[in-house]
Amino acid sequence: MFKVKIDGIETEAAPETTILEVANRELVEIPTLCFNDNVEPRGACRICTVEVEIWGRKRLVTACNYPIRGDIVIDTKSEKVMKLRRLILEVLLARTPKSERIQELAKKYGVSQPRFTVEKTDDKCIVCGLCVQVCRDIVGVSALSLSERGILRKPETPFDEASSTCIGCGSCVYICPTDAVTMIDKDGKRFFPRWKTEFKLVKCESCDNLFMTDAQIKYLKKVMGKDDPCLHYCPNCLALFKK
Amino acid sequence: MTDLTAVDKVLQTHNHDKSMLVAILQDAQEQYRYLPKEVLTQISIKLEVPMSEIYQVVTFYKAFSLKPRGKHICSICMGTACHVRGAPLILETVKKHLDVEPGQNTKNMQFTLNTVNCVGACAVGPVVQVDNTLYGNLTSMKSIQLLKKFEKD
Ligand code: SF4
Ligand code: SF4
Ligand code: FES
Ligand code: FES
Repeated sequence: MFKVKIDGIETEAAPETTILEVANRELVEIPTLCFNDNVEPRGACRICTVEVEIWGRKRLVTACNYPIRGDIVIDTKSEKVMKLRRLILEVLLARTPKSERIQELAKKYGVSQPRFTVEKTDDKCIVCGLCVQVCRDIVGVSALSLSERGILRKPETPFDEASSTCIGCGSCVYICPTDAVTMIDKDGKRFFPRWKTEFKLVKCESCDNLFMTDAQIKYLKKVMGKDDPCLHYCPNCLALFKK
Repeated sequence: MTDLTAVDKVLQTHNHDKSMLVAILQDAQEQYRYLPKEVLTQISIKLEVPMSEIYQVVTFYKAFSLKPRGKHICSICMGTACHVRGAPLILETVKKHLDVEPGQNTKNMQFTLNTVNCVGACAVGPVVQVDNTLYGNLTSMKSIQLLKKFEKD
């Protein structure tokens, strides 16, 4: 166990615990955007930056993926941290002024009018890469990647065309911190505007509600190696059957 | 349909080794002058690497092209050193001579014109790179003469 002091609170942490884990436990609030418990933290957005002191030396680190490996003093609200956080929010707000999540955070940290301007401002994507990660590491189909580089970097399907490997599960929609990925269920179809990909929705054999895409059923059958009731009935009906 | 024999051969030389992806892409581009979709699909299938990953690599490096390119790639250095020594004039002259804008191919597909920012030969600027060779101390006249050498082959 290591000695940890976070915003004045004295506590302990096991080796390899992240700063964010300690903060959550001690109810110290650190803002996050690109962090999601289900995938490996990449430290892409830097909004969770905090100031740490190890062996008398201070430095800025990202709380979500910084493993504690010795006694440490953490300041989550130092002047340096606040200055950097405001700068990050200023950049994000300039890029995604339409994102409610970014607006909210910017307001909270007192950022209003960014000094920077960009041409394309409708997009809510902050290029955190969570959609790419969930699709690759959890869903397992790797339909997406971050293409190009620098200011052109963006999540995309290969060639920015309808994906042949996406199964239309919607995990990317669910995980996106800024609602930049959307899906529209309409007329028995599911459409992802960002991925230019469309699927047929299949009805539950009991209640007739549309519950999955045809591609999802096909993929699940393959990974499960057999047919299963959950590929024919929606979760609600399945729960009823069990009773 | 693109003939896939050349890419199959490239894959063979690299023993279908995933970790050689960049080298495989370079060699494939050498064969096809750019990276056609069918070629990338073949690489993806044979190496068992998701297409999304290959697409990420191909779009990351400037050296890879998803669009057909001319027989010779002519890159005019617009870096600071070359710029002050007259690169803009060379660019204008070459643009007129080839009748293309940077990033485009000539009608006969003999040339692709590009601009680059410093190729690391500032001392002999202004510099033009044709295929894998650098040509230094150029003037607009000399650059036309240079291109003429590549017009026939
Ligand atoms: S909807 Fe498609 S792109 Fe999104 S996570 Fe599922 S498979 Fe991947
Ligand atoms: S679409 Fe959303 S999850 Fe994907 S990179 Fe952009 S902000 Fe992140
Ligand atoms: S939440 Fe830690 S870097 Fe994004
Ligand atoms: S600026 Fe042209 S080679 Fe450096």
